[in-house]
Amino acid sequence: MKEKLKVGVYGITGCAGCLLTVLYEECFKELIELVDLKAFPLVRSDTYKGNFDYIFIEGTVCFDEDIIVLNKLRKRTKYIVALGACSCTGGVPTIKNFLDQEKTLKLVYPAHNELKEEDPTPINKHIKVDYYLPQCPPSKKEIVSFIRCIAKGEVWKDYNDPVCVECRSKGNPCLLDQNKICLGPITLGGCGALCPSNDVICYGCRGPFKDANLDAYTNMLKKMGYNKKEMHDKMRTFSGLQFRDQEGGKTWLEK
Amino acid sequence: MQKILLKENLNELIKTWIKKYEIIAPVKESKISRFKKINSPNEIYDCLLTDIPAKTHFMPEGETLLEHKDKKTIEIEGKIKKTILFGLRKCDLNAIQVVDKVMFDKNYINKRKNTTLVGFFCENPDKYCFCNSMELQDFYDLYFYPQGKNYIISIGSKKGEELVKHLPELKKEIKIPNPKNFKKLNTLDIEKYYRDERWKADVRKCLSCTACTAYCPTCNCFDIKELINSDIKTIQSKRFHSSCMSKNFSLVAGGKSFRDSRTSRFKHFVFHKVLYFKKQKGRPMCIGCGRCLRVCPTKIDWVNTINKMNRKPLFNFSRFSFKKLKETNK
Amino acid sequence: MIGYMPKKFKIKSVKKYTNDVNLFKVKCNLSPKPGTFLEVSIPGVGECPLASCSYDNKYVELLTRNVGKVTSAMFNLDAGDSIQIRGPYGKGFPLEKLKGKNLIMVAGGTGIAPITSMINYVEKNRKNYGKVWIYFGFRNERCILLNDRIEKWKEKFHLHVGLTQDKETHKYEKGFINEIMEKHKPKTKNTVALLCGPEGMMETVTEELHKLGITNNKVYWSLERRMECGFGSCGRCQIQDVYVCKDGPIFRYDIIKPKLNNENWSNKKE
Repeated sequence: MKEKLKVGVYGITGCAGCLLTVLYEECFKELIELVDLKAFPLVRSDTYKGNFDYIFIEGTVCFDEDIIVLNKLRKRTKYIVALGACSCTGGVPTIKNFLDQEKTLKLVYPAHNELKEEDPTPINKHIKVDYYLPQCPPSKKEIVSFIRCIAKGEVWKDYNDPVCVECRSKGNPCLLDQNKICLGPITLGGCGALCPSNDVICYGCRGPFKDANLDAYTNMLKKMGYNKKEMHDKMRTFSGLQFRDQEGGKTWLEK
Repeated sequence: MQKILLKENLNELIKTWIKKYEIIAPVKESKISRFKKINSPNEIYDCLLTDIPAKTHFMPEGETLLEHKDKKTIEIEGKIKKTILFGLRKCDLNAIQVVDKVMFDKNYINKRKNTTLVGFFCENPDKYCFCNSMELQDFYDLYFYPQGKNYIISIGSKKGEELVKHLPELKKEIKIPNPKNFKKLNTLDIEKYYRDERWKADVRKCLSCTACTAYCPTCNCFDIKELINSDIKTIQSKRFHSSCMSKNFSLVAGGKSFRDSRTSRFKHFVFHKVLYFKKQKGRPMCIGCGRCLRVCPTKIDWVNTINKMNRKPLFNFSRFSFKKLKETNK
Repeated sequence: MIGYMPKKFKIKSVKKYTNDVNLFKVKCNLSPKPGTFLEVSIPGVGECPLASCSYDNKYVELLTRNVGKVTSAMFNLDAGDSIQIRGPYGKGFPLEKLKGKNLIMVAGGTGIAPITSMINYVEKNRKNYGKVWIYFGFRNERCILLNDRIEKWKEKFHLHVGLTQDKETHKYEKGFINEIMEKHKPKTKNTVALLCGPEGMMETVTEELHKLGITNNKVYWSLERRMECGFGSCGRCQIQDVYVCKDGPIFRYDIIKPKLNNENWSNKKE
């Protein structure tokens, strides 16, 4: 019998929502024969000192401490898996990049100004990331099938279509037709079009879809009567740093 | 053979059918109309065309084809009750005929066998309909044509005849006209337009959202995915709709996608609908329902593009040389 | 009526050729004709189209490179494990038309599979076919597949192996297949060429064949596309108006050339 995979689940600055998903949705329950959950600091104190095969990381890099933690973890594992929107694409904290830094800090932490801050960035800016499981929070189905896949030594294939594909084949009414800014056409799918199926616009939590036709999308929104600011506000909600201004342009992260 | 029925008696007729058959008819449900099982004739939603076509009845999204359990594999053969698909338009009926030509598996054929197609004449086609340009044929089990106070019912098969046995026969048969059209596709012979530059304008607008293919009644392309149930013991092979507008459609192991650019995918969609299928099976695949034009979020109108090319064939030498001239002048 | 129901077969042996290529010998009575393909599946993972690389009614041999989802799962299998297969699908090589002809067979990399099946067929029906030239192309000596068979065939046919990366080889030859072909100059009268490999390779070889005097209507290409159903339903493998699964995967080059050219043309333009 092959040795079980040694897995750790860690979090850096973040809401711990992804970790709670792993915990409450009992993602590891049916996988206990396949993997060995060595560390999960949210649930029990982290006493394991050895190396890992896979480490799942949740959260955005917001403080210099996060970078130290990341670098340490990287050295202890073969593969890093970014778990959730924050670690894959930056998530909500990255909104700060588009605002006045000083003001925001005073607004959010009026008393703790000794915090050593970094510009909020996704973890792949600091360490090498091997796999991405985006979405806020990540879906149990995806986590489970990913672990099952790696445990059996099979190739993991990322979903590579925009949200619209699943939304349309489900037969949902299009929210763009209702004059709402839905980020579906430019966002990576794989969520089963969760929000649009419930009549909520797509906020782009799975990050940008690489092959999206951004020019056509912005032109369409312009025709619908939206201006640049309104578009950017929507795009910056979850994965602001990863979106581009225009086709072939730089992402906001690269700027 | 044609039969006659008073318009007010239609509901009665449907009620008698409901006792013996399962009836699938257009229903409006959360802003969108689709074909669904009904329990009374009052539920039927009277619309020009349903948003979601009738293909979902034969190929529902995520239907199970195979089930692997305890090291055994069972084939799900798609056995359904006798069903009436009610309220299909001429284009929808033809779409089913088209899909019949490419689906060969047990599951589909069993469903098809047990379904009776009841068509309805289109009285008010809208500006997107161009069915008369697409060589539609008379294909139905029953076809209702409203005339004054009556429906003239044309019978196309034995399956259909059974449903209206008790109705009086029309003595002098009438010819059912084609629905009116405001839009027209000027030519079906579009092979020479493959390298035309004017496709570019359409492609630039395409979001690859795959709405056109999802709503097209003839788009039958699919993907078979294996899903492991939460109890781990059963694995199901399921069929999902798949779109040629997506890059993944032609992706092979190793990462090569054979239709890599949006241009080639868009062209494949249009040319398959109009030209390739005709070469393969003798009739165009597109049946002119205009759903793809209706649902496109950026309002791409490929029919218009083809018409433009037809009006002014050949690629634009004049514009081309003019542009060059401008550049050299600089 | 065609179903998706696969049959279960046992793997007899697994042979490792290179780091990422294994040969699975499966006990199987489907006896696929050369050039046809099978849909090999593993429950819970998926299906993939593979060609058998031997012509025999008792077993099939699947030469598999570890690249995709299913193939990577296959690499966890061992002798004694079972695997599901349905098929064979496709038209395969036009065996009747090839009767009495001299053959040039060219393959690159894992494209060797359908070609070896054809060689097998020719071996078994030797009197039906004329002279046979075989050209295999690989990257380097470590990448050579089926080397045991190649040695055997060297005695029977005019077989040449070209290596593109290695600077020095003792056993084999240096260079691309078209260069090697130019060197050896196979007979071209009454000759038909069968090609399988990457499309770029097949193109240069076809050009070389043209120079030698073999016209496009005597060249057959074996194409790779994503084939999911195998019988022309799922629509993935279409090249313009032909289905690779149903009408191919072997095509006469003069028929498929304009279609491929058109698709490649619109792929480049964006």
